[in-house]
Amino acid sequence: MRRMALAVFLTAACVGLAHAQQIPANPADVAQPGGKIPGAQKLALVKVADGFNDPVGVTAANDGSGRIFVVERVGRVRVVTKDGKVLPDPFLDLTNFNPLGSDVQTGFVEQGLWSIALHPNFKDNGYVYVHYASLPFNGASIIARFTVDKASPDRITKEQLLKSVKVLMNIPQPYYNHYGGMIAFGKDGKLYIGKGDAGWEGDPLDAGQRLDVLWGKLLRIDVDTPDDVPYSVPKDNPLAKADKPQLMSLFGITEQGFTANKIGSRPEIWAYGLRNPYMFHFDQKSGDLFIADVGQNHWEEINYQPASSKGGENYGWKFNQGSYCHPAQSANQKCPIVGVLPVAEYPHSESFEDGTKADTGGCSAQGLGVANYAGMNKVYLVGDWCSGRLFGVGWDDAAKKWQLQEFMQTQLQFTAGNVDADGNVLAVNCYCFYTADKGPTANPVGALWRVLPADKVPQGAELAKVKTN
Amino acid sequence: MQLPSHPCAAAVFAAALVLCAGAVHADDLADFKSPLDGSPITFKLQSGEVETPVVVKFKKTGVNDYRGNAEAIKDGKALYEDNCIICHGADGKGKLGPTLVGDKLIYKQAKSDPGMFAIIYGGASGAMQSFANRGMKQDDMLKIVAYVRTLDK
Repeated sequence: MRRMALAVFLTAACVGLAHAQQIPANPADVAQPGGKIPGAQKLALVKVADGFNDPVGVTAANDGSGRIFVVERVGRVRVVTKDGKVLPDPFLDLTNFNPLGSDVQTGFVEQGLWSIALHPNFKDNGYVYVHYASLPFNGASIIARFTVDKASPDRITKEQLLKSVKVLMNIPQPYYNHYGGMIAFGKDGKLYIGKGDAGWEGDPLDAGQRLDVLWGKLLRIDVDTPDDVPYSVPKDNPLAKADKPQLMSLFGITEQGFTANKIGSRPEIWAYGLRNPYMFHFDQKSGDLFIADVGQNHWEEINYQPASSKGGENYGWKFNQGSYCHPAQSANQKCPIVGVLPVAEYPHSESFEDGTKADTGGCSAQGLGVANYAGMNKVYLVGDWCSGRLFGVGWDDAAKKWQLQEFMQTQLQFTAGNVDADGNVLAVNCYCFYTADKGPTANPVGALWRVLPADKVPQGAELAKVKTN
Repeated sequence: MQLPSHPCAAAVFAAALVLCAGAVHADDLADFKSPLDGSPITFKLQSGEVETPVVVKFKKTGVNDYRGNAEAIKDGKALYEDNCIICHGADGKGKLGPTLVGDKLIYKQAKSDPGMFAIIYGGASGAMQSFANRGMKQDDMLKIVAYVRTLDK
């Protein structure tokens, strides 16, 4: 009797384990628009503040102040207080500390200051990290650390910037698009960096697949180093030992063992095969990771990585766009799937080169943050820059598959998002499309929004206009 | 052409002329609305913008006198190439953005000139932002509409 009970218990436990998220094994398992996330409530997009010049990033303070930092592409970070007031002086300004002019290159709409990340111990050490396109270095991207003076918590002055600056990385960039952008600390205290494939179109440098360049990757570095050491490579990075000096052995090593040698590879690499991971977010609860990888002409994709991952995933660019081929000629085209499939994908207006049309997607997936409220459990909210749609990507445990649900279609050009101190997802929008960019301070101003359950909208709040027809 | 002398007959005749023009239907003025939620749009001029007679007539009747006007269409083409071609294509059939020609339009209201004008003026979703917000004059919007209709074969 007891043995039977044990068998039943073990079976039940195994079944329970099988309910966890699965990475799709086949293209048919990749979620497309039209899905429904069980339990997800109706959502509303509530305005928090506006008046920002080309907002392209947002990060909530992790020091209990309730502040929200909004990144302006021109090279400034603005403070939104917990009462929703935008402070007139910028928190950080990279446009006027260099006596020869702005330190930020903003010539093309994809260039500028993209992201700010606060050290996990920001409350004590005041360390903030930025990622931006450098004008002096001709568009190369810089990752730098500045220190907030405790006597001036809302403003890093020009003097303090110059006094405290520590440059961590300087990554050359041959073309003016596909820089990636977001930088963020994982639960492991390491800094993750989204880098695009260096630009143009079609990845002419083959950056996505090459392991000897930092382009087309998610990078992971340790920033807790002495002041004179820019960063170090975490010992547990997947390629940390892939190019170590060693004696050569031809025998006595397994086939698998030999694959550990990747001569010339960059040990900062965490994952590769990415085209332009402008936004990525960790689920604060589980540490799982979602990456919104912007697609080329036809498909946007959302990748998922469980917290237990040891890194080294290949997300397939430029062999695949989503679960399809690249170049994506038609729906029936056959090609190998390289690496790990995304969990969700959605089409552009033209979903294949053969002219097939679709109107369920958009053209540029901007991940916003992982939601664990409003009936959602580990749902990645994604805003589209072109269609103004707000999507959610979540695992449907009952159906054992991923779902991609459209929550609403707005007039907004989403650029970025993050989670606030209460776990609500924030989003920012710009009016900065490719063909309508007047410059980083001359476009109509953008705003900061908060995603709330539709039945919890505060009295008198301004909501984003949404499609009702 | 002599209009019928009786006022009612004249009115009916004139209405028939308008309807037979093919471009305008009785309820087109209702298309001055947002394609997202159908809310009505109020049109504001840019600072320094003069409301041309064509625009005035258009807002009252829904009739776009730039249709078939070679000079206006030439201007409209240049404006289209500056502002629209990247998303809607040289043939208006769409690429990054949806098609502007044929019967299957993303926003049904774009079939009428007031409907398409309202979308250019006030925007639709995402990257199709309000061109009024970008400083475009309403007279230019009408010229663009007139040009786009020539792509509809």
